[in-house]
Amino acid sequence: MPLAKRIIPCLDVLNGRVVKGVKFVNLKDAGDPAELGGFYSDEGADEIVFLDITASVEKRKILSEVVRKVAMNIDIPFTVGGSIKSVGDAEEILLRGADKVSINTAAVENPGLITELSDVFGRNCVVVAIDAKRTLQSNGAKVKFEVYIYGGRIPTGLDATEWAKMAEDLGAGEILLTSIDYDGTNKGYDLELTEAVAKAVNIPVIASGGAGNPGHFLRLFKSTKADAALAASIFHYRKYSIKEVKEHLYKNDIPVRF
Amino acid sequence: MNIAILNYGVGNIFSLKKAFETVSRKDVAILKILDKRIIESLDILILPGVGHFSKASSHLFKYKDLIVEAVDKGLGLFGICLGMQLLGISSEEGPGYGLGIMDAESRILPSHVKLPHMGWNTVELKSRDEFFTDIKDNSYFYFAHSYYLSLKNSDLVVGETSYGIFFPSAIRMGLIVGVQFHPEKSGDSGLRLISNYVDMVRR
Repeated sequence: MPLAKRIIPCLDVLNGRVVKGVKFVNLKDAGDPAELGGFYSDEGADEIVFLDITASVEKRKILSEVVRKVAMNIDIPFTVGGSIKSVGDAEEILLRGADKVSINTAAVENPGLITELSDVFGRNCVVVAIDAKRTLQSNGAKVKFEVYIYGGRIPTGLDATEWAKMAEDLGAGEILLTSIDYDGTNKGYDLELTEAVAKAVNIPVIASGGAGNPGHFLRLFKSTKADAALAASIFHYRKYSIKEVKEHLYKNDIPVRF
Repeated sequence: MNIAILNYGVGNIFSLKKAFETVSRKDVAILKILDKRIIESLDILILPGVGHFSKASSHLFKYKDLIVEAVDKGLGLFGICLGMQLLGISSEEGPGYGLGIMDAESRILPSHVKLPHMGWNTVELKSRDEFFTDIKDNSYFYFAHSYYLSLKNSDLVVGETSYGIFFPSAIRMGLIVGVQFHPEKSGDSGLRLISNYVDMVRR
């Protein structure tokens, strides 16, 4: 049997609570991270991704405590991102019970960090998260899918595909690719963006942004080389369970784990 | 029962400690160093799956004779991921030596598949071993690696996994076991496997 396609609920955490917004704004409370993590782990999630979006000075301490609480509650892989800017930051998160760290803005601003993390912890522990947005060529944009940093607020001029390839060369073990245009819209994944990036690299790609029903997951795996699908609101608001999504995939010959 | 993890790298050892503690209902120690007195107090020594072969080797190799002698006297040895690879002699990942307990070397997975091999894959059982009691054939376990241990003696292989090639994903020689996947990250099947092992050592 081949490697299973992974279904990954994402916990966006603000001040120790899970939140969910549309297109990175309008945040609504969606529950306690440790409780939700445990719930998804029991429900058949293949992994948990936890992105801290807290901006306060107390952030590091809160994050460290929440990571430990989530790790206590789950026995599946656990990726944490949101405030890791150095090897020391990553070490603290891993020692608290995360398996992988995800870096986004810090990687764009300091690409050498990818290599440093990879050398110290191994490639398997290093996820590079890319937030990409379709550009309007009429505005003079030079690339089709542009990388944005600082939570989708600041454009970089970098092409998402080129940046993914560079991240792989620098030591990334996985790419977490979010479509800013599709995030929170429930209209399905950005298949074109996902395929462009997944074809360009030889490391696993997690697609993110836009999942609204089980058919969206099926279309993602049928028409792109994505290895995993990340989703938040579809699961947080119990529109569909992870099991329902997996059953739909299984019926349509996509390998999944039960 | 005394259980300890030998920490030769940096990574998530917490989940491994938690899993063995849940199953054995005993505290699990995390050790940086070993000596004769320490190792003689242990029933199970765990080699975790964190870090790089060469770095782990430079820390571990000085304890080779100590560990081999303790294993001969009945110490249980459980290698996970890189820890399994360290049961062999050498690795394509870099210079340095493993414990040489198994006649084996670590090789990189083929280049036509995405590396690292990351995610849930199945373990096909080669024999009905008590290590896999109550675990179905072709159960899913979580993998995160690019190298695998290639053994000279295939009789030691309990389970195999397919990813580009078939490679040994679970091996056993008495109370010395190695798994390429992370049982502490593999849900119920992983906890069951750890529980089976603790029972094997207890007996």
